[in-house]
Amino acid sequence: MNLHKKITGLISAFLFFVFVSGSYAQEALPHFFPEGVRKSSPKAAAEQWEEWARHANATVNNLASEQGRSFLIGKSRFVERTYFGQKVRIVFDQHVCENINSLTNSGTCKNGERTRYTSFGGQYFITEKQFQELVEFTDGAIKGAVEVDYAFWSNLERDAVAVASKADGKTEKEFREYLGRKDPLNSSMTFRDLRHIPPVVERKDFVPFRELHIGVAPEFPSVLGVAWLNTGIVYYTPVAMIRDYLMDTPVVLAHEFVHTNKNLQGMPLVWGFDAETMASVPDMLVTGDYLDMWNHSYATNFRELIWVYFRFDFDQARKEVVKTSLMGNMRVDRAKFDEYSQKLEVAKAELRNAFKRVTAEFYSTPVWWTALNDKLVDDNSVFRVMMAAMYNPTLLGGEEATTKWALTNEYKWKRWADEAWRESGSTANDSDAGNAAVTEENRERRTALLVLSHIQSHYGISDEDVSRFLRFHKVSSPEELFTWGPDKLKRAIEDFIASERRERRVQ
Amino acid sequence: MLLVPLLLGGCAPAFGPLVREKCQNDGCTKEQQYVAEAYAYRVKLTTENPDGTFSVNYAILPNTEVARIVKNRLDDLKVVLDPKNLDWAPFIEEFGLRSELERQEQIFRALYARLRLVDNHNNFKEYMGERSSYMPSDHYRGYDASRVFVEDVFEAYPFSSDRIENARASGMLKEIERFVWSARMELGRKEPDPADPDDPNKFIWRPEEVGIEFISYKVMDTPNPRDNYVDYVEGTRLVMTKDGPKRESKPALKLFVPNGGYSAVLVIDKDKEGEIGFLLPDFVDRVSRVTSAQGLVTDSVLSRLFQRTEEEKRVKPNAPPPIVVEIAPVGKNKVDVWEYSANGWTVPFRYKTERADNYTVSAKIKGDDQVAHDPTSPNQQIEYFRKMWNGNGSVYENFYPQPPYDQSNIVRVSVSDKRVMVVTNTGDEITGYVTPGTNKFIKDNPYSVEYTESETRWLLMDEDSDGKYEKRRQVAR
Repeated sequence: MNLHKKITGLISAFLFFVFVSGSYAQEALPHFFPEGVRKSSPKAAAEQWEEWARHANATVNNLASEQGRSFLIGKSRFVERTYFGQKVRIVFDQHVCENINSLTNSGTCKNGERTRYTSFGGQYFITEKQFQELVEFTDGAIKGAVEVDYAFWSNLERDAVAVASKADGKTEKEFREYLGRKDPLNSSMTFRDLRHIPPVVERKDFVPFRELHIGVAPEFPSVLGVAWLNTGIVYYTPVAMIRDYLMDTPVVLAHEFVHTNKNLQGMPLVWGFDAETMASVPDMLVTGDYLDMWNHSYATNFRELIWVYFRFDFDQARKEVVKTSLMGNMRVDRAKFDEYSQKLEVAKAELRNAFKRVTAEFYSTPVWWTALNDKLVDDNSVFRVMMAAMYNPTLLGGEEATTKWALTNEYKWKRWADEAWRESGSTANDSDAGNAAVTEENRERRTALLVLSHIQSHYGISDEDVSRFLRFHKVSSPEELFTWGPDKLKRAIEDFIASERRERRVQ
Repeated sequence: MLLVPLLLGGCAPAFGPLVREKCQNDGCTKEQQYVAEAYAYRVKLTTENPDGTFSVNYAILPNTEVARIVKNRLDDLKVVLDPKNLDWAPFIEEFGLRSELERQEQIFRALYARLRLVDNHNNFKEYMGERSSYMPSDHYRGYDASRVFVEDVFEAYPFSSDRIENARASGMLKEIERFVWSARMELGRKEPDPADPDDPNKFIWRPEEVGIEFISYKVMDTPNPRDNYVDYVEGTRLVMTKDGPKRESKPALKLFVPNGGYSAVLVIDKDKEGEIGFLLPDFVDRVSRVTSAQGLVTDSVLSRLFQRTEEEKRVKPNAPPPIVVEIAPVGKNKVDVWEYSANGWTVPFRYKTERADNYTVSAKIKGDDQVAHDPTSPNQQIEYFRKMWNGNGSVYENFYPQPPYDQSNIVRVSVSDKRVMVVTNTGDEITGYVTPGTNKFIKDNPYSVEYTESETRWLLMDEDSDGKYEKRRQVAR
């Protein structure tokens, strides 16, 4: 489990989420798709929501199971394809030959044997035509995902170099020449290597250079996709494949392809920033995705930025959309959901544009940003700092009212900023506390709350879940939790999440 | 193991929530708190351009903070690349990631050396009195990429003194002392055994040979100076090759002794020639006045000069032996653990005094180590008497008892120093001493001897009572 903390980037499906931008042609669907799967109409946000809920419930037992046993790798059918110059083996994990040892070196079955498909719902044979339809469908998803990523990231190098050269006081031409020169002290590396400025982004960089698995993740049934950093291995689950089809954009695959791009998310640099948020650019911001921005845990920071800078109040909007829930049957205002989702499209488009500058800033000097993350104790500091540099907050009833409040209180927030700067980070000097005992108590509590919030974001669990967890363990204060030690705490949290999921399924 | 950093990372107070908390305590609404936070980022981390836009203020973060984070990454890599790491090692080997992660390690090491260089040069200028102590340190301590990634670091960051360089140029810098310190240590460093590096009780020793040549200089404007105190010292590491010691191309140590009795400034580069960071100082310290380079041969200086690299510490385990199935029914095979000698084994050192009386005695009752032993039985039997020699090697000599003390009629035996008291089941109480030489209690020669030599304990056996120990084996200490 610990291994996964730092070597995988994954997109998990505790919540519902969707996209649309028109990547899928009207082609034959893979055999494991539930009958009646259909894409929603453009701009029909509520319809998208409903289709997703139906699809999720239709597949929850067959394609993602808490009781799943581990599969063995190595005997599944596969094809080898080259995308934009990058060869990749596409392994269809749950598809084996009738006789498991009949797999040939080219991934076919000997003697025209049938292909056996296994899911948590059972096992059946499929025809070669069905298998080839799955292959072609996957082929389309790969190409679509690469395009989603490339469309956003393609100018990163140009923009990052522009930022870095300006900071260095050099022309871009001079700076580029300098970046290509070898470090006189270490001839095996260039100044570009030393500064960690990525090379020009190419489409092939997003293609897993080793294996793309179309398969389930029995140990983590809620996972839709997962990338093992630096290895060139990506898993794309059947559930994610259906979900991406519903949204008409291979969002999950695009997300994993950012993780698999070593130039953007290679170890060890990736250990210093929030790889999930970064990989969610651009997939959470794709036009026509009406659901992720509302609920997905990876979009938490985006929601906050939209609220602070673009004034869209998610809490209020949610209250207006969801009237009540009758034990899992939601009464919603579909018209309002459609209307607000369209408003969000404006905010998302602006955010997407702004994030080009944010990512260029980050990759112009990524090591500095990881150091700032540490100082601010915020692995997404680049988003917050750059948004503050580019936009005025508007959430106090508009730009004018907000700016007036800010100017009126300028001396205060400047003081708070100075104090917070001194106090934040693992190296902060906090010896100047006035009342040591009280401060120590506050600090412990604050620390505990921060750790809790970190855990929440890591596991994608809500405030209510945390309260239930504390009640369940008869813990009266968060500080108490941290006397348990990391192992016990981790185990307790994961057991709790598992039991919650089981409970929800029973209901 | 990796969850721990996650939790520790969360333990530090975060900037944004701190600003919001302060705002909340001042009576701000939730919305106002987030506005304050947004402006806090702007005011602390950006600078306003003439056109009203804002640029990131990189210098707000001290260079040392960036260096610290790079060091953290290096520490992470150290953990991840450790072949003993049970989580990471199999993953790294399976996907062939070692070389690319080691390359990243090299890059981060080079980056770290540059960041440290900037800080160390700042320290050097300060310690050498070349920078006013009234100048706010954040004027030159803030991060600046254009200073970190300079092409000619030696021009940008000279660790030199005008006084010394001027004296050198004018011919007044004279060598006044030269000596070499070197050491060869057969047990130089203890390393995990590559056959089983996970077991802390398995290890190997590697020899180490280190050396350094010191040359001391004095600024002399007269052939007959008032004292022989040094003004400047250079120390150059010696690399021990099969052709003898070879000097590295540049000094790894410099000591600047200022004129006028201030603290000297010691500059040390820990990286050996060919390693990343060579010639970029790692330590810059003020030291108390040194009058001769001989005063630099100290543990703290030497330990900095001769550090082990991560690669040296990283012991890759040997391939494990092939897995087999071996079945050993009891009694089928005889395993002989003895070594034989026709001439007989002897204790290889002297352990008796001239009077051969430096021993104490104990007695062993037959079967007293069995669960069923009855200590109140009137029919006990003495198995052996033992002389325990106080001297080299903790030698024990075990003697069979002489008749009649070898009979199964013993009620009690007690021994104090050399005095023995035996009670038989006929009511006799016999006392006496186990004296040197022939004695009524014991046979003349021990039938077995145990001794310790270095870290091994040996057992010698004489089975035919001819006074020769024809076989031996190791026993647990």
